[in-house]
Amino acid sequence: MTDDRAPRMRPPRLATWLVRRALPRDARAASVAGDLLEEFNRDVETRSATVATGRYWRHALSIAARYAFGRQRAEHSSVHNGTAARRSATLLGALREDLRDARRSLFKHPGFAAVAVLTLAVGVGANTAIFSVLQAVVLRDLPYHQADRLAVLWTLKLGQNLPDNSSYLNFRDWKAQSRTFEDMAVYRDRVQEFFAETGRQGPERIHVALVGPGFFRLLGAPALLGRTLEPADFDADQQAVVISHSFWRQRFGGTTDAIGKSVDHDGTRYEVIGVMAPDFELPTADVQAWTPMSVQPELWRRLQQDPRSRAGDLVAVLGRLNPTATFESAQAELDTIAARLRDEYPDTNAESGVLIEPLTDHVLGSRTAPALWLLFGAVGFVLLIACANVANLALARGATRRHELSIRTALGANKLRLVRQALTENLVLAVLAASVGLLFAWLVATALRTWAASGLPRLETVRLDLNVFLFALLVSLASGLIAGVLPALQSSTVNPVDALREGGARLAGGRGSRLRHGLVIAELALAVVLLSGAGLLIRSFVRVQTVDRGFDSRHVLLLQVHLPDRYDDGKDDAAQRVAYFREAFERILGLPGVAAAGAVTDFFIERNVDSLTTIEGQPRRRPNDPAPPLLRDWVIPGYFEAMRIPLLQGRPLRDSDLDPNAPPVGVINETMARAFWPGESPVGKRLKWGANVGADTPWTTVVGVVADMRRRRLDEAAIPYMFEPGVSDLMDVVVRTVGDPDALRDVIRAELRALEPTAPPYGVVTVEQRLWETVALRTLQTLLLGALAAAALILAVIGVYGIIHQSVVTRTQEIGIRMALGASASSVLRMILSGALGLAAAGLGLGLIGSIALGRTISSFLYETSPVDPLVYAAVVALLLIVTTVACLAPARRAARVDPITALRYA
Amino acid sequence: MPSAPSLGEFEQLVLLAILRLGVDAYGVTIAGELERRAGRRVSRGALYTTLERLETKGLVRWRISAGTRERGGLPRRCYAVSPRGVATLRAAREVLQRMWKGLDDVLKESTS
Repeated sequence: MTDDRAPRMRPPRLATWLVRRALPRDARAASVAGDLLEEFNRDVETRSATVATGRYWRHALSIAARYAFGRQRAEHSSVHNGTAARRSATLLGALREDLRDARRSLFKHPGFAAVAVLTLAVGVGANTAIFSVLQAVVLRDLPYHQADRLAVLWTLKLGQNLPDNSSYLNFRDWKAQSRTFEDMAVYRDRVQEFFAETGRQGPERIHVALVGPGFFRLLGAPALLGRTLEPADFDADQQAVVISHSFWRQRFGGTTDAIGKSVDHDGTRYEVIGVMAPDFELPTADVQAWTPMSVQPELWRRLQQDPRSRAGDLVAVLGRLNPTATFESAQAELDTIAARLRDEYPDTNAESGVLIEPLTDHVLGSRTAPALWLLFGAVGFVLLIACANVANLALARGATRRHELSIRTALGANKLRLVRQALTENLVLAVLAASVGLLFAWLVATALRTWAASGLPRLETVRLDLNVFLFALLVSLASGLIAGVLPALQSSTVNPVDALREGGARLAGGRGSRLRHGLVIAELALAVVLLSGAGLLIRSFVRVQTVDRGFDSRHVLLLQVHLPDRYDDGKDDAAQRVAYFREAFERILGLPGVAAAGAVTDFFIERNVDSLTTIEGQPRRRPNDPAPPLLRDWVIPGYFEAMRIPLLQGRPLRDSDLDPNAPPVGVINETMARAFWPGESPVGKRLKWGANVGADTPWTTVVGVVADMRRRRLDEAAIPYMFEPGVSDLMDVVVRTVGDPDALRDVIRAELRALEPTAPPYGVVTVEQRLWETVALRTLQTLLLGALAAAALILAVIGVYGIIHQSVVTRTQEIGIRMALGASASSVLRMILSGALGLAAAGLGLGLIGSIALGRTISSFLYETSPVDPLVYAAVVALLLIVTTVACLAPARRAARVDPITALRYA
Repeated sequence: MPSAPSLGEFEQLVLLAILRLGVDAYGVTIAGELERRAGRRVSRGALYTTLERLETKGLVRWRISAGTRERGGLPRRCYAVSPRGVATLRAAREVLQRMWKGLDDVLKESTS
């Protein structure tokens, strides 16, 4: 399989962009880019990714430099031939001079320099941190060859409009008939649990993905060590397994002789044939091994041969688009293929369509990218505020520096030179800020990586690489320029005669101070926008946390039990499994500290909802009517008690309902009651599973209604579902404890392990922990936006403080006169404070307009909170006014204490 | 160099590399050939600007050929030396040969 060796690395984007920018926009650019890519791919294969990246950068930089300079030189030489070299020499000399001046000037005012660097560093650091997350999670390509052409193909239940897994037979037809996909492959997206014995540290549960032929070839992911699965592995006597990087490190110590070693499971020996790279994370990030689907011969045979399995949903399908195809054209083609299959196999395919989803969307989910872009926007605001602050500082300083500048102007410095010097000073500040900011970003990124455990995709890959570094530098330089341009222009307008006149520096410069007021108002406005955004998210967050879960989530431990195949006696009643669980619950309930226990197929709803029903006494659905989604679960009756789910009508399930001869009954949730029997009591009503079923299917009677539970995410309303008595091979066991559930974790595990050594419980967590994970992204987003808003507020208030302080200092003389003429201390205090609050009010006015616009754009992140929530806005207004008042109290007091005599004497 | 368009040393090497490669001369292979035979590491910036210069001087021609999978489907610019380029190379060689003539004894040891 040479194709499996296909390169999966991508060259650094920034370098590619650089080349494209440097080259003229014609066919040349494409062919040069192609050359570089070809070499890069070869280097990746024959050397290493690091060498390849390094060489790619070198080539890119040399091209960029040649073309950029070449162009410049051409322009120069056309005007004045031969002076180019001399000019660059003087330019360099001038730069050196400017840098020297900047250093001197900053050393002379270390306080100003420190405040400016720190302020910019907060802005740059926050931007860099969020950028590193954005890059790792959203911008970076998936680690597969040309990942933008990969897609997941779902079977679409037309009646419900729900995407679901597919059947192998349909997959085979899609693959044979499609022209837009160059390849397709299947895998099982429900990860299997293997009880693996590697002969080293005793048995252990590992997550195993069963994959179809060509899975690795399709992704273009080569093995890091050894090889990936080949078609021959699907009929071989010897079972093969490819292991993940982390499993390799853990169990085989990361040595190359792991290849050829074996992993035992259920008496079968699997030979390790390859190790994947660390970032290969399909179907899920925690998969530890991949084996051919044929290791389950029965399943494999049925999938391929049993015509009834066409209705099944056992495999997930991946596809790779042709280079010429788009996701839209592929969707159109698969729509026709699905229609053809509907006609051909009406029994199984009557309800089936196809939905194509780009793999990137599937891996990232729909929420992550917008949430991160929102944060990226927010850090941009913080940076702007930081820039405005530094600009203000520099302007204030410029006012006191007029004297120096006037002398220089008088001595013949030209305006350009002065502007350039002011800018250089800011760029030096910016570079310093970049280094401090990077440190800050590193701290934030490290903290964020610990959130990776909460299941946010790819967060664990956040790191500060060259791109992040360059980004920090660019942002710093840009912010240095933004912050520097106003002060620089202002300094160039110095009129030497005016400024040199004695006392000139004492006058509050009219134009300059208007500019500074404007900047502070803009800062406040930006801070208000961020504060109200954060306020709305916080309010949503509180709403989510206090939402009625429909059960008591405290003190509940959740364990997964996977019974081995020999518990499956092939009959429907699953008597052996029931016996196992009865015994297990007896033991668990016997433990001190356990209050109740039960089990359910899936405590949390992760799979797609797919059940269709026929309801007694209600007309049959027409084919195109959307049916409400409906989920069915098996439970072992103690479940309701253990979760303290309120029973609203009828009776709960009883242990006797598990009896093989008991009539089929079920308990439904409120939402199902409302959706299926609106306005009447569902107790006693009957339904059949399946859309159009015959008389031989038994009726299931609804015997009770329970409260809705938040089983998908805390911030998602319940869907209709039904609990029936029963046991599957994979159950979520819930145990209610009297005290801390974590304390019982090990005891319960040991008890169950003693009962059945080959089925130790795994994935043991508290329900609270799992619930928290469902809102991890929201929590992170709220936390970060809250922190950013706080930073924005602090920066903006520092800005207000600075300007008020400055005005008190420059107006000492004026205040002295006022007081000499009879103004009281309190009236001076009022005057200064009202000046500050005037700024705050203007900022609020502008900011609130912006907030309303922001509220609209983030409304999709809000949970039961209006984008114009009056409470949030009132809180923002109050907060800003209070904080501004407190910050300006000190300078206002100082003004009120001005002694008129001293002020006038030293004026 | 007299008459004919002037030819720098690097330009000469590039033209020779293209001639050696025949139909398979494009950026990657030219760089490889120079690295192998002339033993010099070629900066890509220098290579592409030189190729362009040779094109403006009318010494090389190129045509686009389709991209392969390993270059992400991006097109390839295959170069060939134009008749004018061949003539220029010949002229350059003659100049060199004239200059070398009679110096064999002086330079014998260091040319080995």
